[in-house]
Amino acid sequence: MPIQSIEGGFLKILTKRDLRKIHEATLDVLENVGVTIYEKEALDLLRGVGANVDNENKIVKIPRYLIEEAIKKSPSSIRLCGRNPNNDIILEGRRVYTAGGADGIYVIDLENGKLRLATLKDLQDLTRLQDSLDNIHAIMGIVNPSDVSPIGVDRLRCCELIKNTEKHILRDAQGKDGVKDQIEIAAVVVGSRDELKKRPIISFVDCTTSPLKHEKINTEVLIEAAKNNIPVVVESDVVAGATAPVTIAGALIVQNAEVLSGILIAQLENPGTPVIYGNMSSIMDMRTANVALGSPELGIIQVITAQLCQEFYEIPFMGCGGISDSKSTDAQASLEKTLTLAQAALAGTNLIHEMAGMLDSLFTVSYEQVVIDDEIMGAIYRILKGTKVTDETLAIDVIADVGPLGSHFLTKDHTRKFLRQEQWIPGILIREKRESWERKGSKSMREMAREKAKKILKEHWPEQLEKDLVFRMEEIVKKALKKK
Amino acid sequence: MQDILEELSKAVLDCDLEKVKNLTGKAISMNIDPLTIIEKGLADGIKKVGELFERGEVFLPDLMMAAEAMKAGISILEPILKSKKKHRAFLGRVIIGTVEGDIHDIGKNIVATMLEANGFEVIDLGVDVSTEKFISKVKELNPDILAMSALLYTTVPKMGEVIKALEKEGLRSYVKVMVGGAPVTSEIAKKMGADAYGENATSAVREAVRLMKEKERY
Repeated sequence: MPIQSIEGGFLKILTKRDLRKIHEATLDVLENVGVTIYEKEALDLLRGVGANVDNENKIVKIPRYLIEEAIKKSPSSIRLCGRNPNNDIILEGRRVYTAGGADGIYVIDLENGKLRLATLKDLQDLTRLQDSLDNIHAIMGIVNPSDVSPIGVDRLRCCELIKNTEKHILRDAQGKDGVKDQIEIAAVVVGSRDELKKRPIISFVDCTTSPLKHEKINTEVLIEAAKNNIPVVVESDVVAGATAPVTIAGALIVQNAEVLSGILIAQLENPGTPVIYGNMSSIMDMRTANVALGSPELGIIQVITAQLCQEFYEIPFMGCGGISDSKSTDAQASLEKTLTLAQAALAGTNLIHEMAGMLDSLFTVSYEQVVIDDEIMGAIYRILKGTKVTDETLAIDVIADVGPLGSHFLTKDHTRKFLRQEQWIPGILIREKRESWERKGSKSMREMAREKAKKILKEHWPEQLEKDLVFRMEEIVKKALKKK
Repeated sequence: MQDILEELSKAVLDCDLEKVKNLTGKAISMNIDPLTIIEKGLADGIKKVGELFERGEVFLPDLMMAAEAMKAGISILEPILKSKKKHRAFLGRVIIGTVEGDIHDIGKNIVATMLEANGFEVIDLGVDVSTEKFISKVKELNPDILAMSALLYTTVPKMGEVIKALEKEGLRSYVKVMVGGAPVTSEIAKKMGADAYGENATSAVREAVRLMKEKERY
């Protein structure tokens, strides 16, 4: 069954006038302060269209019309494909989809609950687990495996992800060659590079460095993806108070300047590149000097950025939500995840990434948390769907039929007909009476989640790729590792 | 004399850069020993801010600003110390930098500032520092501690590379190595052969002090 399209976009924080102020201030900063770009091709592109490039410091000051043009050239609808077409998602307008966790270093072991470094097997298992859950729509490299060398691991992760999920995959890459190799790997699966352009089963993520910098490796990723017309996210992760002003309005300007200048680079390289506005901007906790990714402020930035993308830029937006700073699956985790996911979803964030499994400010991944987060997102989707008022849903006939003397509505056709549309059926929430709950072992939601995760890992296998394809994909990985 | 030193300490605590400069000048004109001005005035202020920070009563920007204020005072005193051939008694000399391929420096800068504020001499090599540069600087400046930082998962192995290069050059036993940065953990630090891991700025200072004690023992 294809993935349902559910829309948010009813939560708004700023007026159109305030949004315009942020936009205008961003253009001022780009024109008068500039951004630093540590990548030659990007500098050449910008110099070529008349931006003011300071060759020594690599600072580029960008006339506002260039940014305005780049925004216009960016498509407002981007299809991210799965290797199974049922998993395709279309990022546009107020649609809300999710992408799973990314880049954890530790995992909480599913068997013994102990913290340990993540391995390649965790990457495979966590990917398979996310593949099975309906409220996760795209997949990222959820952990950095500690048992393989980090150099060239981008190709290896790409290969492992494709094997273990039928959903769309968002990829990081170690520079130009990392992108080239991964495009080749994905092309093996879909048949050819041309076919990959039509059905991009992978996309790339370019992260800027705050404040106002485009570092070399990531900019290479942006340019190479654009060259190949593969969807690419330009993601800014400002930390208000540390790498950006402490005020949210000020932080937004730094974020916006980084992303818009990145979008410009992509559109100069290849006009019409499917580029996605990305962020994971938050605040620094000033007592610990750590980034607070479960903070309500992160949610506010999500909402405003979604507004900017919908109401101003008409560019798809990949935000984030569901990250917790808590060290374990506990009350704090539920609070932070539910709040930030709800804010992002209600705002109409097109792709909410880091949505599943992430604890400890992204350092730790928990299997059971992946299942709980899917459940949280299920509840949030129910809220997004709202309700419809029609003659049929008003149900006057049914009310009259049961009437003031009647007992219940349980046996009415109307109830059965609308049940699944009106009610969300939870997977692991506990709604039993105490005694029967006790009889079944007094299991907490966490235990339920653990059992569900184990069951899925035992039973769920995405469609296997043909042996020949896997061989060819792995050859590309091997070749890349040898080069190093 | 006590009054002005107390005032100076308070000016540091208040992060009042101008006042620190003025009071330092005034203390000099009163012929107070520059080392006393540092110890009883500037450093005393930093110590107090540090305590308040630990208790959660002031926050990181206060701490950093106070350190800046202290530095402003010290920069006025340094030429006088030099002319009198007096030396500040540093706890130790630290070379610090972000490794090659990485331009993230906020964590490194916080650590550098906190080390300075706590009595270390800090030489900051900046960002994207190559292994060769680390090695040549260690040879040139003979630091007690080499501190390295990385934010990217992919640049973390560079720290291990520097440690190996130190070994190869026969420098390893002369310098303690401390590492830090978001993806680094004590486990990863140990694996790569570092002597200490700074989880945050306060723990980096604590670890640096511990390393110096360890060094003295030999």
